[in-house]
Amino acid sequence: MSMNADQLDRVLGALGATLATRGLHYELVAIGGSGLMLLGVVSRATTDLDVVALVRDGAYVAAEPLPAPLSEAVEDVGRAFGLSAQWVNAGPTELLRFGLPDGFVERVQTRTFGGLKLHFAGRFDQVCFKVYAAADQGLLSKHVADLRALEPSSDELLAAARWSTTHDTSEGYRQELVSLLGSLGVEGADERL
Amino acid sequence: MNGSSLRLESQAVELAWSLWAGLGIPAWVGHHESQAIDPEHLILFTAFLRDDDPRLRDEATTWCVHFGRYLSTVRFRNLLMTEAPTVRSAFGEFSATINAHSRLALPAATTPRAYRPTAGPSLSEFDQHSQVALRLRAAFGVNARAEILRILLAEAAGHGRSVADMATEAGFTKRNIADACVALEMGGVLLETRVRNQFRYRLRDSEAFKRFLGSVPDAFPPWRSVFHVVERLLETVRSAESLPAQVQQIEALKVVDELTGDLQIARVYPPQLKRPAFDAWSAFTDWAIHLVSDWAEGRSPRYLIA
Repeated sequence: MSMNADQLDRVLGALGATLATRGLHYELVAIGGSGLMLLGVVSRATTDLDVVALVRDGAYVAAEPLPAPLSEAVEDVGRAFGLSAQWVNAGPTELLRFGLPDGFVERVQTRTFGGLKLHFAGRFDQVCFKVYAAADQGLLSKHVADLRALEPSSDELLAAARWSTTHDTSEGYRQELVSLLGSLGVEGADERL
Repeated sequence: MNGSSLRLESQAVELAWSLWAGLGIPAWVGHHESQAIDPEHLILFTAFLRDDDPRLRDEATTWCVHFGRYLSTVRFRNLLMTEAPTVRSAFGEFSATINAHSRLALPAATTPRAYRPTAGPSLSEFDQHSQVALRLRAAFGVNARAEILRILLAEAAGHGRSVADMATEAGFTKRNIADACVALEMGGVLLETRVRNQFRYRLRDSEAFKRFLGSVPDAFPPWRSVFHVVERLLETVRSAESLPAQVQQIEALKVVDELTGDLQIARVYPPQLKRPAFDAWSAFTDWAIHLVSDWAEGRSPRYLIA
């Protein structure tokens, strides 16, 4: 099942309530379509919530594997709403290993749903992740549409592209980036990158 | 507690009373005289009910003190391995109390509760249909053989049962069951047949065996699954009744999902809960109350799979 913003809000509310009644509290850092939707940037439906990190004692730690009680609650809520058992997943947690954009922590937007505190990546950080994903997956991917919806400036796109090259240093990736930036209206991308 | 959990709890207690009546405890309910009762599973269930009915708990303890020699320690040990922590923990006290007032050494004993032994039920023979498991043990010993014979008596279709299949239900290891099957075959009681690539055992002459026993029940309900279902339903309704509606629905769907296997064994339809589930809790509690009520009163559940 795909969720619009209202449905995602309701499902996260149910997850937070379930965690709270089980005496559980988790703090997650989310990126991707769900975050963009809850921030009101995009309206396309989503099927999952991508988690890049868990917050433990104030520090970001790898989200994979998700703690078992959290996974169980995610599965239980998913069952009730017709979602997959992994509708909250730690797929992007690899991003944490190579480093999040500088200042990420200060830009997050936080919402609390019962026993669940969610930090959504800020707008600039979403631009960074979308640039990385779009260069990786091609100009026809959903990430390009998300990127356009974020309406980044040329400077923001260039800064995001520079950050993404710390995750993939290959020449092939650089060429994809240049092509992506060009298609998004950044002039002289090859020289300015 | 609210209405749903009180009703469910009262039905669970009534089920236990009725089954104990079938094993000889004087009781005002008795709906299971024609159904085979599984003593160890009933004791685990009674222990799970803890203080829901102290008189039931004490009467059952007294029965065990007096007739405990017909209970299987090995079977208890094996069954406990797959029981929920709540059942294992409740059984610890029950077991310790029985051990403290008898020569038995039931497993998993913890600390006995305060209990004053009373005169046990007066039973001169396990001659009721519901007591067939005890009758078999009295005749063949408290061992895997008695369990195999009980399982094969229940095998109305006569297709036989494999060793692995019987081991799960009997609460003995496959090795125990295999050895006992070979001995019973040597003794002329069982017959081994091959169905496709599987060896199965059945009674060599089930009618003669039933005549020998003299008292064979109409039904052999799968008590292990029935009790698992009742226990989980009761736990869920108790713990979720005061939760927000959305969480109740999530818990209802979760427990129904967890009980899929036991419901299939008991041949019972799960409740029809819509997903996304916005009115699942009331549908779930209605279903649970009807189901446990049917079991408590010895009826075929209205949700029985035809």
